[in-house]
Amino acid sequence: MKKFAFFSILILLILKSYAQDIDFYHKNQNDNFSFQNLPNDMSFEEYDLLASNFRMQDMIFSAIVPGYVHFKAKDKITAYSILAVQTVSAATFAYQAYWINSQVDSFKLFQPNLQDDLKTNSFIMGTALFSMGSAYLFDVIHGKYRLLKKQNAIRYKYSMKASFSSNYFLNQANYLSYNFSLKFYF
Amino acid sequence: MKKIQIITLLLFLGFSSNSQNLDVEIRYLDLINTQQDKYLIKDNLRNAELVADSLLWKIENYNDSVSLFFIKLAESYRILKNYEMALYTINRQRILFWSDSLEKLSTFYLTDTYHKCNLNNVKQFSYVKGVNISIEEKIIKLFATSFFINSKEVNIRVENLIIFYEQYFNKDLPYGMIVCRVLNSVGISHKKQIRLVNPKHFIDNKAFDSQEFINNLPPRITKKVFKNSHII
Repeated sequence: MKKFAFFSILILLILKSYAQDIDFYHKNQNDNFSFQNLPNDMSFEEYDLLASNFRMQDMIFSAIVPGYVHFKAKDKITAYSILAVQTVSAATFAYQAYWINSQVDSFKLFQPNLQDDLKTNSFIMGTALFSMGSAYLFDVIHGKYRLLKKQNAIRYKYSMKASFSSNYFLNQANYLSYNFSLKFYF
Repeated sequence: MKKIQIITLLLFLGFSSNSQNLDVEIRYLDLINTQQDKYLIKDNLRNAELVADSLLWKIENYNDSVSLFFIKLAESYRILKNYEMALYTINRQRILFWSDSLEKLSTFYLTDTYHKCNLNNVKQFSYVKGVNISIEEKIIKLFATSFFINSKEVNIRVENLIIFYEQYFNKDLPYGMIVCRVLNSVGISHKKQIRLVNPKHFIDNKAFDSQEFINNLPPRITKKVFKNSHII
C-alpha cells in the first residue's frame, strides 16, 4: 500500500511538472499581465523576440512544423529553406517507399536489374532520412543560437543606450528600489 | 519646498531626455562602429533612421552634433558595404546639415563612397554643399543628388522627400519631384526613370513644361502616360 501511495505521488508530481508545458522551471500565472517600462523606440518585433524563450516543447513542434525554431527567431529565409528541405526529403522518402511497395505488389521481385535498383533506392532513402534529420537538428541548434544572438543584441543595444543617457531617475533600468512582494506556489 | 525642488528636477530631466537622445545615438554608433560588428550595426539602423527622420523636421536649427550623427551613420552603412545608403546619408549631412568643422571627413567619405557606387554619369552632383542656401533649395538639391542612386532603400526615402516638401512648404512641387511623381504614377520602375530624365534639369530646378517633357519621352512611355492621364 505504501509503495502504491509513493508511486502515485511520484506520478502525480511528474504529471504536474509536465501538465502545462514540457519544461522544468516555474512560470508565474500573472506573467502575461505584467507591463514593462519599455524603451521608446523599441519595435514590436524586438519585444516579441525578447519575450520568447527556447523551450523543450519547441523541439517537438520543430519535428511537426519544420523550421519552427527559426520562425520563432524571426529568421524567415532560413526557416522557409528548412521547410523546403524537409518537405522535399519527406516526399522523396515516401516516393521511394511507394516504389518498393509497388515492386512487391506487381511480382517483379525476380527481375535481373532489381538488385541494383534496390541499392539506389536504399541510398536515396538513406540520403532523404539523413537530410531530414540534419535539417531538424540544424533547426533546433542553429535556431536557438540565432534567437539568443538576437536577444543579446537587443539587450546590449538598449542597456548601452540607457547607460549612455545621464537620465538615471526616469530610466527604470538603472533605478534601484526596494520591493516587497508575496508569492504563493501551489 | 523640497517637493517643488524634486518635481522641477524631475521635469527638467524629463524634458532633457529628448535632447539627449541624439547624443546617446552618436555615442552608441561610435561604440558599434569601432567594434565592426555587422550584426549590431544592422540591428541599430532602424533606431538610427528614426532619429534621422525626426531631425529632418528640425532642419532650421541644428548644431554640429547633428552633422556628426550623419557622419557616424554613414560610417555604419560603409561597414555594412551598403554604399548607396552611405552616399545618401553623406548627402544628407552635406546638404541639409552642413558643418565646417567636419568638412574634411565628410569630403573623404563622399569621394570614397561615390566611386564605390559607380555613379559616373552624374559627376556634377558629387560636391554639392548646403551652404548659404534656403531650406527649400536644400531639399531640392538633396532630391536631385539622391534620385540617381539606384537602390530600393534610397528610392523609398527619396519619394518620402516629396511628401516632406509638400507638407513643410505647402507649395507647388519643383521640376524633379513632378517628373518623379508622374513616372511613378504611370508605373515606370526607378531604374528606367534614371535613364529617362536629364540630370541637369534636376539640379537647375527647371520650370516644368508638360508638352516638352512628353515630347522628350520615348513613344512607348508617352503612350503609357496618355493611357494613365486620368490618374495624373
